Order: sequence, then C-alpha cells, then structure tokens
Amino acid sequence: MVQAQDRLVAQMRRGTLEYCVLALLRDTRRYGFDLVRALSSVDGMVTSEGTIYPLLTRLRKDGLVKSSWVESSSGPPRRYYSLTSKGERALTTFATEWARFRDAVDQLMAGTS
Amino acid sequence: MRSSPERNVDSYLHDLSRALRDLPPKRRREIVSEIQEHIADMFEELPGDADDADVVDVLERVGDPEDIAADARERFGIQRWRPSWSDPLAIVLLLIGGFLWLIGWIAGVVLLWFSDVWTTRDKIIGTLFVPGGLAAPFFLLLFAGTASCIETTMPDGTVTSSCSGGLPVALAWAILIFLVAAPIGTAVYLGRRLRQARREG
Repeated sequence: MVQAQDRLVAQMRRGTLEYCVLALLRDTRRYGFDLVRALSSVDGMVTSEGTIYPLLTRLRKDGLVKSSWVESSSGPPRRYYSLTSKGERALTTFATEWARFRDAVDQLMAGTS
Repeated sequence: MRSSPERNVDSYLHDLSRALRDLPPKRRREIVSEIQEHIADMFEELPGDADDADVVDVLERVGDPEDIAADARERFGIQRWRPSWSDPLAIVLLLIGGFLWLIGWIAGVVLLWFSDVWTTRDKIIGTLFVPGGLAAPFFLLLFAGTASCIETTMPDGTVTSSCSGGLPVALAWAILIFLVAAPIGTAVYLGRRLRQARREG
C-alpha cells in the first residue's frame, strides 16, 4: 500500500515538477541549490535533490529557461536560471489548464456533479 | 592525502557520471558539475567541518546516482543503452551474409534498418554498398567466368572456346576491386559509426 502510494505521488510529481520550477523562476532568477531548497520546503515535491538538475538541463535545452553565470562573493561563479518568454508562455498555459483540471478533480472528489 | 569525505564525494560523482553515460556528453557534464556545486553548497550549510556521517547524509539527500540517471533518461527520452548483439551482427551479415545465399545479407539489411544506432544516411550506404556484400564479387566471378565462354566441338573434333561479350580487362578489374573494397569499406564505416554512437550514447 505504501508502495502504491509512493508511485501515485511520483506520477503526479512527474507531470507537475517542471512547472513548479518554472513558477519559482517567474519573478526571480535562482541558482540550482536555491531552487532545490525552495522545492524541498514543499512536502513531497523532491525526493532526491539530484533529480532537479537533469530537469533544469532539459528545460534549458527546450528553451523554457536560460542560464547565465554570475560571479559570487564566496566561491566560484554560479549558474543562475531565469525564465525565457517561451517559458513564461508555457507557465501561463499550465496555470490555466491546472486550475481547470484541479477544479474538475475536486468536483468529482466532492461527489457532486 | 585527502580527507575521506572528499574521497567519498569524488567516488559518488564518478558513479554519477558513469550512470549518466548514455546522455548527450554536454548535458552530462552540466548535470555532474551542477550536482558537484550542489554538494559543495550543502557542506557550506553544515555548522562544522563535514565528517563521514555528514557525507553519507548529504549524498543520501542528493540521491542514488542510478535514480538520478533514470530520471534524466526519462527527461531526455533516452532508452537505457543496452549493448545490442544485433548491431555488430548486422555488419557481419552485410559483409559475408551473402554467402548464405541471399538470406544472410537480407537479414543483415533488416537488422541494419531496425537498429537505432545508425542514421538513415548510414543505412542507405550500408544497403547500397554493395548488395550481397563480399558474396557479390565472388558469385559474379563464378558465374561470369563460366557463362561468357562457350565451348564448341567442331565436326573435326577440335574444341574451340569462344568467349564473347565481356568487358575490357581493365574495366573488369576495376569493377571487381570496387566490389571487394566497397563492402569492406562500408563495414569499417558502419563499425566506426557504431563505436561513435556507443561512446556518445
């Protein structure tokens, strides 16, 4: 049962995680560690922190985020991520669809129609 | 002498890089270097110097390299690389499969086209150069050698053989050399492309 529950959460996370990353970048640029920390603070979003990096690389490849190197006062320069206009559009589309989808599910879960 | 926490992180990164080997090399380097930075940041947040238990804890939070790699593969739509026996077999069959009549060569073509290692261009080259592989010049010699000469027994008992048709000797040699060299060249080419694809993943 626990396993089935884990799988369920994993599936839901898989479909939404990349948009959560985009949402975190909406108003502010962040570097990897910062993003992971923000995601980890929400229960159930990140199980192993390392999996965020393939996702970021993928988003960059797809042109949804861009990255730039920023000098840091402590240690080597960091790769900061920010949204591209394509990323903003994808996020807007998701937000609309998500609200519709969530409402539909909520309605069914509540047992009224 | 480096401390053991550092060695553990190095060996973790090594495992990670190996687990990610079927990703495009550039993406793989990015991911590894960012996870390396991530680990460094995690150590920064520790109150004191990292001891072995901290390292275990940090690496556990980062995650199992195989899990990260599985996730990455899914993100990039990459199937796990399985060293397939069918790819080398395709090359061998294209080269000498023609000697099993035509069936061996045809099987080679089928394996070639079903493989996801070669590009369409590679596959066209593999098919066109040369149908039948090395068997083509072999059978050509065998049949051409007998068919083009007609032996006639004259009424007086002498036998004359007249070889008709035929190509100028130089041209015939050129074609023969081409028919031998082309399949070998193609096999070498396909083999190189296979190695390349395996390295890059």
